[in-house]
Amino acid sequence: MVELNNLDLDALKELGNIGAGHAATSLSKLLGRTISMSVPEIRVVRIPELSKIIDAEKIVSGTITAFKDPLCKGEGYLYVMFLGDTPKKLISVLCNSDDFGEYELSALLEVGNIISSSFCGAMADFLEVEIIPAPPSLAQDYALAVIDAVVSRLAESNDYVFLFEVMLRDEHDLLETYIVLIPDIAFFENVVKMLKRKVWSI
Amino acid sequence: MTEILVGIGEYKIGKKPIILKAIGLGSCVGVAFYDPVLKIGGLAHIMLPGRSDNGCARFAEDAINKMLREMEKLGVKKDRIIAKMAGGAQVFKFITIDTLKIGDRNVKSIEEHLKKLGIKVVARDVGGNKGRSMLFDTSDGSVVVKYSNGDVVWI
Repeated sequence: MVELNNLDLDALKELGNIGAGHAATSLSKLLGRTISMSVPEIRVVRIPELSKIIDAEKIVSGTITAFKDPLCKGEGYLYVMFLGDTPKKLISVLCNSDDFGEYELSALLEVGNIISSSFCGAMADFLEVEIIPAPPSLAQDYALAVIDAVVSRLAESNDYVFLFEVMLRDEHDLLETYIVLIPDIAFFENVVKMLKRKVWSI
Repeated sequence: MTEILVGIGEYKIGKKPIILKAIGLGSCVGVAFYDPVLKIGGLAHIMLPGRSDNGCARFAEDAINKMLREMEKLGVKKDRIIAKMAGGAQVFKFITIDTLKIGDRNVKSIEEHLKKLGIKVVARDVGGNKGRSMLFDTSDGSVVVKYSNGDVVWI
């Protein structure tokens, strides 16, 4: 495992903060509501422990977006999870519908897309690198079942995953969106390197 | 009965009657081994197809080999083992990322390896588009599969 100190984890936290802030602004514009952001958390988790720390059997609607930084050959994933009744409420606000058909699901996918592309855009601007997001994929399932494929990909070479977690809420606590940033080691190391360079150059 | 959680990429063995659980299986596959004579069971929560360089239990072949070896140490005979498996779904509706289509590859890799070892697969509930949880009772070798939509099947 890579050697990490608290400063490195703070670097990732700061980056996640900036990404989540922009994601919250985009969501707020889309819905015409005030969206607030929780204090984010960073966790370094042994892969087998994921079954315990994620509420594995909770049913969620979530989108996964893969992104790449072609320069450092790093990659990562953004997991946008809509908790509880949030999918229903989002669909009712956006589509004026209480159905869960193809059209409504693609609206939900679009919300995930807006959140993750603004998150990626903000990270790219801040790090002054290019970050290319792939179009998101949508699933409605057990929380762990939605991300196990992503974790598998990272588990080919690592025993640990880094999780940056933040919650976005509207003023009435009706819309709860949980965002997890899961970088691979190459992306994470590059974030630390770029942020150090930024701080020293000031 | 006591329940033991088998974390993602791990395997656990129950010598006494116990429930072994692998929860939230999406693309991952749960593989249960059972010796009906000794009533010893093992459950692996497999993440990746093939094998690693260092015998890491996240990979299908390594997990199966290690679990088998550990069970044999307890007196289990390979030709008595019956295997059951569940998982390997594709939970994404709009899939754009090829690396997320790992479920099928996991199932194929596990089946090939079990065939090579000569271990009989007596029941399987794999593929599809729903996540599963798997509960394996080592007192009788029965497996309950709970789907994310609430459906339950016994295999």
